[in-house]
Amino acid sequence: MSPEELERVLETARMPVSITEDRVERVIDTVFARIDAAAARPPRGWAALLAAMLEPILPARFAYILAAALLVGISVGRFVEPATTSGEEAPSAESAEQFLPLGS
Amino acid sequence: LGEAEIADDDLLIEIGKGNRRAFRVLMLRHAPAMLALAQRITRNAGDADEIVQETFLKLWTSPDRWQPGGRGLFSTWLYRVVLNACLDRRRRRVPEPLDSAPEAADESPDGLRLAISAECRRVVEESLEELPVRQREAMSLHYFGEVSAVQAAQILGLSLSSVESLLVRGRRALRDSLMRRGIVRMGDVI
Repeated sequence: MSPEELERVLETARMPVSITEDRVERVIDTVFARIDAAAARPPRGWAALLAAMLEPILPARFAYILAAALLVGISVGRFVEPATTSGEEAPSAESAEQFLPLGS
Repeated sequence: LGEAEIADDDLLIEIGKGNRRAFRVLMLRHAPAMLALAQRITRNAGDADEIVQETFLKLWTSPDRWQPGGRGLFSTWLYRVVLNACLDRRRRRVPEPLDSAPEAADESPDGLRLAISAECRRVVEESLEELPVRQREAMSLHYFGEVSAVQAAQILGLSLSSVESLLVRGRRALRDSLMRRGIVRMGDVI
């Protein structure tokens, strides 16, 4: 096949395209409609809900990170044992009391 | 400044703040070229519309995908995003066997010309799929996206000589692939 023949094949394969203003407007309207539909949809899941609550005060990308951090904090926090308050295991609290009068 | 004179980068800053008017101006400016590129590559108006809509939607949700002030223009970056989406979609599309395609009812000279053109496109596309990615991108942009070699170089982020070299190798590979299919001249297509 000669280079000229290849060019002829490629030229024949090329699709003539004309884009009308109506079509451009339709595409733009669809984009806006999809943006509005996404905004109207309630957020799904805890992370998305938290992100939606945080979004007015934070940029979207930080809102998601903070929401994820909050979720991790809440999940891990449930397994943390409350600190013991017995005198034997908390000597520092005792000693702090002893120094109290010094400042007064 | 009139809307037509506002730079793309300035519009994108406004889009980042949620300015729909700026987004509309940007879409009006670029959608026609992007639709034409997508339609030439996918050969399907519906697919082209969807690809362009998706591209603009992504831009609205994360306008910081485009980093202004770097090398190149926003339009070349947009070309690249649309081109990749088109090639991706074309790769995933299941080719329709010729036998199952509806019979062409139009027997006028124009109808015949369109039928030859469609068959030619099908054969060329199948051959293009065999090319390495970079060659395929350069060939698709140059021959079907109707952009110059200089523009293709900007869109692909390559030097002009690299794109020219890709086009030379792409033409050679395409010619070999067509010849393996028994196509030596235009008359062999149908």
